[in-house]
Amino acid sequence: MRDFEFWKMAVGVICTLGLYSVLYRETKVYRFFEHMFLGLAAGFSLVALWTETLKSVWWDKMVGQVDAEGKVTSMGYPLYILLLPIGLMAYFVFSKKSNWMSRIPIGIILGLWAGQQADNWIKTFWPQIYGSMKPIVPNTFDPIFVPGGAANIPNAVYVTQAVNNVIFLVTLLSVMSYFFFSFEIKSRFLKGTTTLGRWLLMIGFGAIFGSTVMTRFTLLIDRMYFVFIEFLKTNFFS
Amino acid sequence: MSTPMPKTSFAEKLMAVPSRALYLVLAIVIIISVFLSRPLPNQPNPPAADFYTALMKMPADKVVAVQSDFTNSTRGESAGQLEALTRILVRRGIRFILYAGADPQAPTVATNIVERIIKEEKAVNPSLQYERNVHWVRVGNFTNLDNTARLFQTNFREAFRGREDNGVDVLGTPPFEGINTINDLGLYVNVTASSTLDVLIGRLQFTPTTYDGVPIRSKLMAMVTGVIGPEAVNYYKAQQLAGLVVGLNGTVELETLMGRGLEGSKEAASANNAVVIDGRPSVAKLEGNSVGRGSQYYFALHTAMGLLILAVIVGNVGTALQKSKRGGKR
Repeated sequence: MRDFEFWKMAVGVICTLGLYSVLYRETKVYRFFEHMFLGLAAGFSLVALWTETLKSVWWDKMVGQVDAEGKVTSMGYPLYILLLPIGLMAYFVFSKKSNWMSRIPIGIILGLWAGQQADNWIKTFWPQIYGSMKPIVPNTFDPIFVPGGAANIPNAVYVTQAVNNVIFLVTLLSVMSYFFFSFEIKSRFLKGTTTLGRWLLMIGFGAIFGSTVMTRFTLLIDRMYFVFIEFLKTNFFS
Repeated sequence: MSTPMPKTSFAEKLMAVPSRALYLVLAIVIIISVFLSRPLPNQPNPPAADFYTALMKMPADKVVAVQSDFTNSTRGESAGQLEALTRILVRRGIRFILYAGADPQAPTVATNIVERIIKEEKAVNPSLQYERNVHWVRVGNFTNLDNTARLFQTNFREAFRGREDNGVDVLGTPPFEGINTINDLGLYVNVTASSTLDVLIGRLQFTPTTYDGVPIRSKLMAMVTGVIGPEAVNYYKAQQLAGLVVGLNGTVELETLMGRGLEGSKEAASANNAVVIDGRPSVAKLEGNSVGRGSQYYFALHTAMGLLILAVIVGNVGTALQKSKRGGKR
C-alpha cells in the first residue's frame, strides 16, 4: 500500500507531464492542467495574502490581541479601519462614473515611492559610479601578473590589472556614448565609439541570453529529475 | 503521369527539422543525463568564495536574515541555492529568520525546503538540535517591499511586530534576541529570482564589519537566478554585496567550497585538496555531505548546453549551405 507522500508525488508527476504536453500540441488535456494550475495559484495566493500578511499587519493591529486567559496583550487601533475604504477605492477603476476615486490610493502609493527615489538612486548607483573609477596606469612592473598570497602588495596596480581596467573603461565610455541621442553625431571618433558601444552591448546581451537559457534548461532538468529520479526510480527501482 | 517531387537538398533537410523532434531529443538527452549524472570539475569564482567565506567566518552566535523570494517557477536554480544555504546554517548552528518580500507563495516554498533539509540533517546526525521557533523562525510574507525595506532600515524590530509563527509571537523567539536594528544581524541573504534585490540595494545600508579578520563590506548577500545574475554582478563589483551566488553554476561552486574548503595559495591547499583562489583567506570545509541539487543537475546542464550548441551549428551550416546554393544571396 502506497503512502500519502507517494500519491502526492504521483499527482505532481501527472500535472508536470500534462503541462509539458503543450510541446506536442495545445490539447484539452493541457488546458485542463493549465486552468487547474492557475486556479490553485490564485486560490493559494488569496489565502496566503490573508494568513501571511493582512491578518498580522492589519487585522490583529486593528482589533488588538488577547492571550489564552483573555488578558489584553496589545490594544487595538480602530483607526486602521480607514485603510479598508482607501484600499477598496482602487476597485473603482472599473466604474466609468467614479473611476477618479481609484487615483487616490494610486496617488498615495506613487507619492510614497517617489519620495524615496532620490535616496534610493544614491544608494544604488553612487557605489557603482565610484567603483567605475579604476586606475589604468600600473605602479609596479614586477611581476606583471597579480601574485597570490602574501606577495600581493596592497594598493599595487599590476600590469594585467591595468589592462583589465582599460578594457573596462573603454567598454563603459563607448557604451555610454551609444546613448547620446540629443545631438547628431558627426565626429568620426564618436561614430567609432558608438559603433563599438553597440557591438559591446550585443556581446553583453548575448552573455545575458546564454545565462537565461541556462536558467530555462535548469527548470526542465529539475522537472525531469523529479519525474524520473525522485518519483520513478525511488518508488519503483530502488 | 504524376509530377515528380522536387529533390530536397541536405541544407533544406537541416533547416526543416521539426521543433517537436528537437523537444523530444532534448528531453531524451536530459533524462539519460539525470540517470548517468556524475561529478564534474568546477573552479569556484570570487563571488561564491566571498559568499562562503562570510557565512563560515561569521560568529555562530550571530543571526542571519534569509529573505527568500522565489516560488516554484525557478525551483531548478533557487531551491538548490536555499538548500545549500540551509545546510551551512544548520551545521554551524546559526539561528535564522525566514521571510519573503515578494510573493505570498514564497514563504511556504522556502519553509518546505528548510524543513526537508533539517530533517535530512537530523537523519544523518540524530543528536542535532535544530528546532523551529528556537533556532529558526518563519515570519511570512511582506507585501510592498519598497516601504517594508525602508522600515527594516529605520526600525527592523518594528517591522516584525504582531507577526506569529505557529501561534508564537516571533519577537519573543530566540532568533530575535538582541536584534533591534538591521546592523544587529550577522548577515542578510536574499534568495531571489526577481528584482527584489534592487529594492534591498536601494534601501538597506549596513555598517562594514570584520569577521575573524575578514572585512565584510556589506552584510547583504544574494543568491540569484542566471536571468538576473548579470545585473547582480554589478552590485557585487561595486561592493554593495558581500557575496553572490548566480544560477546553477553558483550553487555548484558553493557546494564545491562546502566539500573542499578554500585556501589562498597552492602551497596551503596541497595538504587538504582545498579550492585555491589567490589571496583569499583560509576557510575550512563543512563537515558532512555537500553534494546537493546543484551537483546533481550539473552534468545534465552540460549535455543540454552541448545539444544547444550542436543545434546552433546545424542551423548555421544549413543557412550557409542554402546561401551558397543561391549564389551567396540572402
